[in-house]
Amino acid sequence: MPHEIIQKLYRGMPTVNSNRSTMATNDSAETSHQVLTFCLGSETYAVDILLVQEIRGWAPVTRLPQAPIYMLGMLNLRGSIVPVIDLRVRFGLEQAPFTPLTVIVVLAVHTASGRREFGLVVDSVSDVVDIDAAELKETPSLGGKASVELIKGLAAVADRMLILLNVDELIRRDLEQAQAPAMAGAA
Amino acid sequence: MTLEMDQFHSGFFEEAFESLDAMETALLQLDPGAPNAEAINSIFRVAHSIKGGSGMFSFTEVASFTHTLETLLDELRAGRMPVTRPTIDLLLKSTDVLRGMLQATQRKSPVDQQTVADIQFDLEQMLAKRPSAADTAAAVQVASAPTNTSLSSAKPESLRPKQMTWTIEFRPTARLPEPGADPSRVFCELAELGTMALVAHADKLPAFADLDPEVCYLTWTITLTTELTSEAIQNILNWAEADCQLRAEEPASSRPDPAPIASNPPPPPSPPPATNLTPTGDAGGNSAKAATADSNSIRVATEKLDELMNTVGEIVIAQSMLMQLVDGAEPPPVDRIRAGLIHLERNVRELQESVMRVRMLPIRSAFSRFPRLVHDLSARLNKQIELKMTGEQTELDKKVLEKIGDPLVHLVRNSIDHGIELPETRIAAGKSAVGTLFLNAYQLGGSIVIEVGDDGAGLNLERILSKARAKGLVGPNDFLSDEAVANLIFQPGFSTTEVTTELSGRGVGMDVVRRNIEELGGTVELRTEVGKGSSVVITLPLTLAIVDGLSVAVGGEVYIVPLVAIIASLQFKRGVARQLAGVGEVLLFRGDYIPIIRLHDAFNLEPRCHDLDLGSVMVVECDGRKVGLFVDELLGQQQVVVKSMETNYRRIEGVSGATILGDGSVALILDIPGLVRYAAERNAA
Amino acid sequence: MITDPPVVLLPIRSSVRECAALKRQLLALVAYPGAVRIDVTDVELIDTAALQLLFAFCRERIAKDLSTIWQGDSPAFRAAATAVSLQVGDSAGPSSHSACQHDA
Repeated sequence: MPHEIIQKLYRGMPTVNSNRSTMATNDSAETSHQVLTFCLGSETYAVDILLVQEIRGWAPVTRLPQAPIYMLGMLNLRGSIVPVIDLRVRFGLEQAPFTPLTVIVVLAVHTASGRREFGLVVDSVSDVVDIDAAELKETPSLGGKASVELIKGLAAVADRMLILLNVDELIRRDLEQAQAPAMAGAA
Repeated sequence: MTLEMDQFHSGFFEEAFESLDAMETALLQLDPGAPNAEAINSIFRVAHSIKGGSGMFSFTEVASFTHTLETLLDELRAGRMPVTRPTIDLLLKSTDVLRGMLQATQRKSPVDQQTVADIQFDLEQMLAKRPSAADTAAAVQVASAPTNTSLSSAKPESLRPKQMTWTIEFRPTARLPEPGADPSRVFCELAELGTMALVAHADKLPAFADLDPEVCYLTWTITLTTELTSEAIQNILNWAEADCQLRAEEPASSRPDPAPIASNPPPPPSPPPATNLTPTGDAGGNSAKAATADSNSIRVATEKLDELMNTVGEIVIAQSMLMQLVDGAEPPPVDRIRAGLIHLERNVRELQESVMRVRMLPIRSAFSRFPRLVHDLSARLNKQIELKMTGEQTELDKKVLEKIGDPLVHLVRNSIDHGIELPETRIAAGKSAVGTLFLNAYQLGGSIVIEVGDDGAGLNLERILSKARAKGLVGPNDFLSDEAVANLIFQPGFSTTEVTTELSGRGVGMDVVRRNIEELGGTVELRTEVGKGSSVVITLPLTLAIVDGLSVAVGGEVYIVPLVAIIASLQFKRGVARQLAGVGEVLLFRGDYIPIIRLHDAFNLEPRCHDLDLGSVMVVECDGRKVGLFVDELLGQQQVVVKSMETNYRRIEGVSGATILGDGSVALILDIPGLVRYAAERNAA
Repeated sequence: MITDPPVVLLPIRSSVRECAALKRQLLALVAYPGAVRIDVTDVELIDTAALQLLFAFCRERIAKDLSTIWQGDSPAFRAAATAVSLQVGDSAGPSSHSACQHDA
């Protein structure tokens, strides 16, 4: 249940505050770090726990014109306007109906253009686990299910294969650089 | 260089740049025929304080240049030289040179020596021409200050009008380990101002065993003979942590006064003698600053203001949430709660307005550069132009103010360059030889209007139209009103080089001007009359943080349409809309057919109604072009707090920002100029 | 007569930071019955605090009618003393017996 996960996350929070420097780098320099895992179809994905701001239940967002289909729209996150990406659609999986388990994982990342917040819609969040940087393996071809560029690597944890998301690349591709397409219907 | 020194430096530069602006303003107001003595005095004071400050920080180049400048100003002040047009021009050039030197010094980059030398030479030449130059130079050959350093080497010794001897009782108060507390530094600075004698007193010194090495028990009596005012001395003493008693004495008898003033002993400099000086310098050291800076002005970091603005925005949202909660409550809400909420609403609005006012600054700062611009440019073009400015006190949002400067400069240059004719042309046209350029600013409802105009030749509309037709901007059979023709020059690609002489330049970057102003949520409009002149009217929102809008519904989404753009909102009657070949849907509005944009088409939404008769349409306008915007439903008018889409995402065509509605959901704010352009592009395709 | 007068060697840098140590050294000698030598040769930097300390030392010795001998020469020392209008000795030669003085 999302609620339990949030409890776990909050227990983990003090490390976020006492360990600010790792937030900026959020990279493989750490030998071992905690990741939040979540389900997307039959796969289990993971993001660095230090990037996670909040996990909230799915609620409708405001649609954006001329946005790619995986860009669901904008969410009000305590007064700031945050884009929300449907990760299923982003990875070419078929869109699933939103259920009570569907959650938005809100991440915050420091980029060259400042701190950026955004939400990822996933099927459900499952757990917080430790992974060892040494366990991280190169990404094999995933058979077209997901863009390989968005994957940092794979890690086997307790018989499960975790797919570690490359969040920086996701931001670079989907939030910052993409050209705003012309308005619909403009010939 | 220590951090402390850098801080002092930045203070000095800030003040110096402000002073230079004030000096320039005063110079431009100087009437060569009847110079205002107080104005010359204030100009002199500026040069003087910059010299003092730069001398103190050992910016010797600046100090030396300012000294020459000051010398000339002093001649003017004493009436020994006439204030002529060339003098004023030279002084204006000097302020430019000085500004350049200060900027270079600030950036620690090399000063443009050649320019400095040229102007300094001009200043010296002008000084050499003064009637009494020969006598005075001879008279003061004897008078030289032995302790003067490089600073004084540049001084023509002839001009020592107000030699005063000051006695300073100097008692350090700080503990000596404090950085910069060593009194010797202050003495060195003072020694550079003139002739200094120093006497130490040891009467406060305790028995050796009781002596605390960190306390300065010694005191000094400083006797300083200088032509500088007490202010300059104070400026130096202020850096010392010390109690200082400054006393003026009789002019040193050993120093013969220059011939012209010998018969007429100079009055003591402005401040009263025996002023008690404190290290903070509030006794009068700020007078130069007070003369230039606006009263009651404060400097606040914009970030802080933005934060405050955001907080208030949240309160507005919270309040409207509460209001909605009460409205939907069952059992019906208690009247008193409602009354309280209404009260809260008013309070919040007042708070919002007062916070907004903190961000507001008078437009004066944007206007202040124009007297100089007009002066220089008209001289270069041999035109006679009178600049009339009104409404300089009109306040604008700081962010708007920062961005409006360049477009205004562009418009003013265009008016001077291409609007106002040469004197002979004007006379031939039966007009006064002196052209008028006007800059007006005023508040009109929730907007600020800025007009830039002239009484020049006006635009040649026929030529603009034929040019536009040739460029395909206007169809061969399209009929355009004069107003619409004039506004064609704001079209991108309405290039100048091929356009007729009266126009050339008018078109340069006018599209950029328009774009800049639209980015600020404003509109720009051009009015012109052949032979009588043209004017550009810029309408800007009071603030960028809040927008009055109409909320509209389309396909389950809510959008905010800025109220300023809306001319009318109507319910369709059957048959009003028509399908025109090549144009698409049009709507008859006040006798004109205007294109219709279905917002659901533009934004790719599934609307509740496709039938024009069932929905609503708003007529919106941008750059004189009207467009009908078709939506499902008009919901109501409300004030919204603008939030940027780019903080976490990127810019979206047709959307200027977003806001949070009373129910906590996000609504996009429509970018009307963008939508109107979209309609034009669609029609052109 | 004391034949071997003690010598205080002023360090290269004599500033307010070094004054506590200098004061302890001088305090031990302030009532020394014989002549005290102060050698300024090494001084490259001296501030008002140190000059004040030396000045106070000399003044106290004069009051007790004891002699202080300045030896060595240091331009930095001379310049610093001149800048605050103190004469803590003329530092002219190694054996000059100039007493501390100040303009009054």
